[in-house]
Amino acid sequence: MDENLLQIRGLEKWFGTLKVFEGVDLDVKAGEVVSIIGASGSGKTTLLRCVNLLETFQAGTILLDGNPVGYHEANSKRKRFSERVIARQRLLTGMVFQQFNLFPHMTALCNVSLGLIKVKKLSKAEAEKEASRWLERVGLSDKIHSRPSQLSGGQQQRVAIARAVAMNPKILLFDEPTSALDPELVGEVLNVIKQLAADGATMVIVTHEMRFAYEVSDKVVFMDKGKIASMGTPAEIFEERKSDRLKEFLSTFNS
Amino acid sequence: MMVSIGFWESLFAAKTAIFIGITNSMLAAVCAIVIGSICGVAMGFIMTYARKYVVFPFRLFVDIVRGIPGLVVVFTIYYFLDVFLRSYGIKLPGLLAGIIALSVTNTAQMAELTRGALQSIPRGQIEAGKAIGLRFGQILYYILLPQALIQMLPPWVNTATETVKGTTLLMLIGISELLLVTQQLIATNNHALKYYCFIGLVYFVLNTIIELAGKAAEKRLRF
Amino acid sequence: MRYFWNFNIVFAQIDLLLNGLLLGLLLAVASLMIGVLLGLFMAFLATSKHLWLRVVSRFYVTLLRNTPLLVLIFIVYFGLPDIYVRLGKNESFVFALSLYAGAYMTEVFRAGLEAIPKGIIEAGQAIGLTPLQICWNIQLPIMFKNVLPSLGNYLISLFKDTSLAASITIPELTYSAKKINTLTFRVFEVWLVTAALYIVACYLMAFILRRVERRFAIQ
Repeated sequence: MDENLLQIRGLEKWFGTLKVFEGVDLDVKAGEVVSIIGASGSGKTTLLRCVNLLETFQAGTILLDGNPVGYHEANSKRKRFSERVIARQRLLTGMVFQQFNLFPHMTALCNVSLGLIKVKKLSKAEAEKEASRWLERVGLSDKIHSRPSQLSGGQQQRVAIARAVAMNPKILLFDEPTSALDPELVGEVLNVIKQLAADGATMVIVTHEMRFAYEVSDKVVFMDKGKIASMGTPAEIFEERKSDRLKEFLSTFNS
Repeated sequence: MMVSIGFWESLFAAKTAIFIGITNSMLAAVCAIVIGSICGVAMGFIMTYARKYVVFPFRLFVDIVRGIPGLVVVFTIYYFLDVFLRSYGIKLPGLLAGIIALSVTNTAQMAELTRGALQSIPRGQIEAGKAIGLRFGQILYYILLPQALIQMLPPWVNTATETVKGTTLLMLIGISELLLVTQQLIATNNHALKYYCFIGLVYFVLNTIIELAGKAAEKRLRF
Repeated sequence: MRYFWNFNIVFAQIDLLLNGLLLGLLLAVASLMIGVLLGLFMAFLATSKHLWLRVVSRFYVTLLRNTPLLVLIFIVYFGLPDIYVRLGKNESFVFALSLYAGAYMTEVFRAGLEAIPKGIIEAGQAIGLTPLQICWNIQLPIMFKNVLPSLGNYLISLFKDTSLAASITIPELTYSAKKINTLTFRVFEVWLVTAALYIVACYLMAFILRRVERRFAIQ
């Protein structure tokens, strides 16, 4: 399969009159791991949220698995799909949030199985079996009946990852998955992500962990002021440092 | 004629009347709490998630009711309904008017509580629900409602005790709830202080039980 | 149904209503002031080292908060004469409402006192202030600034509670409204005007209080 799983063309977004990004093109092939780096405010998180349709965008197209998501042309007018269709399109992507966003009133198991039961229409028993399988994969088999408040940040984020992968999405989106974690908890989460990458999952990761991005990515995207400023293999981005902006940005990290 | 019998004796003799009074008070309180909770929670959801022009009439209702003393709500609804029904030759059952009035106050209170609770739920919760493909109705039911209800429990218990206390207002539109019954009993003896203290104690015990039950539930539901 | 509106009859008696409103406001302010003193006293008991003082404060708050205000008013106005304490209507009402307000104030002040970081009090002790000086110069000013918004809200809430004074025929707004209702039978007009007066008064108070708060916040 050489086709692009995710294809972004000419994406533009404004918040009111403020342009967040313009002319963004990005391709992600099946099995590829793409990291997006850049200063805060460069639009990388918003780009990710557009792919998951949590943000609107004003122009351009996002193709997931060959089909346009979010908007379609009807009578040569750009129209947003109905919420029902968008809910279905979101299933193509799985999202892991910076703040985990676990459901605090549910156990880890219920957090993971909710979508399987209500969206995938699995029976409760099947869903729980599937959910505990994934919780085991992220190393939390002893925590399946714990509430989020009883878990550490790293454990919570691993539950959130299990919740996202359990839905069997084509692409996993990570929005700064370790930014809200204490330094000593970052490693366990990155290891889980690396494991998923090694198993062939397609991923787009917004991150500030440069060493991690270097190690795990097939392609690194550097965003600056709402544009993709550089794109290339980790070696090209981190070692050659082609542009001044990239040099400046990377020099703030000691890696 | 003033009969000078002892307080406990006279209280015992009046046990049926007092029982009826308590029953009426509790009936009004329970109805108002149930109706107010259901309508109020629904209204709170609408006020948080509906479009502006849909929210407006509900916002107006809540602000108006919360700006008027409970007693004035009781009088207003009682007299309005009375005049309205009488024009159709129907006699207004007093207790019904009282229950409606207390329900209206309760609804406004609950709507505001629900709105506050919903707004304090982080946006990320909705986004996480969307990300696993849930539709808005499902997000509402499985994610927002349970969290809002747990958060609302303490102020809800507070509203419940306020409502129990509020049933005493109904005596002023002539409903034989506990306080009016007591007042009528006092007219036949000379134990005003003891009687009022006694029923004050009854309310105190009732409300304390509600409070303790609420605290116990809170402890079990906290996440 | 057919109803002929006539607000003029009500507006002809607007003096009665406005005087009632003013009386309610006075009763509320008086009760708030006594309630604040009572609440302060009880709040210090609540934060005391001695268990029995905390129990006294706790008991007062629970008892008053769980008893209907109307019952309290009746105890004071109709009950106390049994033990030869005879108060006028207004005094009885203010007495009852102050006791009631005091319970809520206790909770407000207790929370305000507990919110003061321990370090600030220790800093006072470190420079050699006596407990009384710490209380007067440190705890009270910080606490009052913190609780000012709640105090304002309670004033409004007490003002609404003054409608209960109608039950012992004090001529405040609700009583006056009921009187006009009985005299004129302009049911809809009377209660609409009364409700409007309460709403306007409450929101005006809220507006003014928010102004006052902002001024205190800047200092």
